[in-house]
Amino acid sequence: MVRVGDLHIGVRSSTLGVRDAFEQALSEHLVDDPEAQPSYAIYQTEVTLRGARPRYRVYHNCDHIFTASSLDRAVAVVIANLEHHLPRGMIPRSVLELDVAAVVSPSAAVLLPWPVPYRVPDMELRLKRSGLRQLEGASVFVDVASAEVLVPRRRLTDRRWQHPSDGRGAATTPLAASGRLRIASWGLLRSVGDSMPQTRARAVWHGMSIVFGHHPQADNLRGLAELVGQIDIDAIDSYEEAVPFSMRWLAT
Amino acid sequence: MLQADDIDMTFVGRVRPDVAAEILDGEAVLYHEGNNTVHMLSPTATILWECLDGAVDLDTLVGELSAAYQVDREQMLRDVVAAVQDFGRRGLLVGVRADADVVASSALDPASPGERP
Repeated sequence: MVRVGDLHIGVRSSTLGVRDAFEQALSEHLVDDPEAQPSYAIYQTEVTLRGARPRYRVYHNCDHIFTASSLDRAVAVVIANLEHHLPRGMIPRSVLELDVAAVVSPSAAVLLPWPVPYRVPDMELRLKRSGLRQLEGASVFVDVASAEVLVPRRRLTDRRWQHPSDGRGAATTPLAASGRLRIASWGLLRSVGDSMPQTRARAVWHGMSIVFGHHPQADNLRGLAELVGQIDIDAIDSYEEAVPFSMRWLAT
Repeated sequence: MLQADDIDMTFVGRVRPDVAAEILDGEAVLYHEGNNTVHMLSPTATILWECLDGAVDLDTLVGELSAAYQVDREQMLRDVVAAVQDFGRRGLLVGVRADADVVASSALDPASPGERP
């Protein structure tokens, strides 16, 4: 069990190696609480091909939320999601929290609807080859005035860790570095047969259903309009399994 | 309180003051604070929306618009009345009773997005 603010949240591990890595990363937050139920889980996939590496599937309750190519990343994803449960201070009016995924390069970001990261096979590996990564958190904070993604400072731990089972030499920092990244575009799903363009108004209309309620909705509406006035809106076909075009652009 | 179906060419439309609007590239997105609904309007409906200032009836409005856009007046009148009736059903106009089913279909889910379980 992990102590997160006033909560005790369980994280289930499928192997001892996974458990060791997680406990190493969050040792100072571990507590014994037989009453708490596991809310997150990391499952290491079976490796059937010689030389292949396992994947690590991260679940929140029954929802598959991430497939990581390394144990480090899987632990990082759980930590970022646990931080979602910490109490938040006052959020400035210009900052909105959106229920989207974000893929980032060292200097820019694209916003994506949640189904995309699950649907694209081996998305994390493909992003990594292009120097990109998906932010680990369950949601994304954006500053609508500057059209930037705010990558939060880690609050549970900023420890560097790497489990020996990953065996890649020097320790890495599997969590994205905090800071601001310019938003290049926002991808919206386009369902089969939908020939309508994904306009800025559509993005705002959709955004109203995925913005968290930190501010009055009328303020959210103004904020979303301000945001989309500064970025591109992309259409992503709902059946597409390729890495969306906007991310390929980000990699250049 | 008027029923939306009763709106005709003599109706003087005025948007509710608790409806926030943002217009992007000619398309309006509306948030109705009173019933927590979100609406998106086509470019044509957005033009009409901006004209509903409570000053003129629909017949006069259509006269002005049909001259400006050089379209058939009778056809435009039918379209405008239908569009304003639709605004009324959504609860966006002063003095017009909203249709509960239409409002429900546009309502933001108060639990989503919300706090994580």
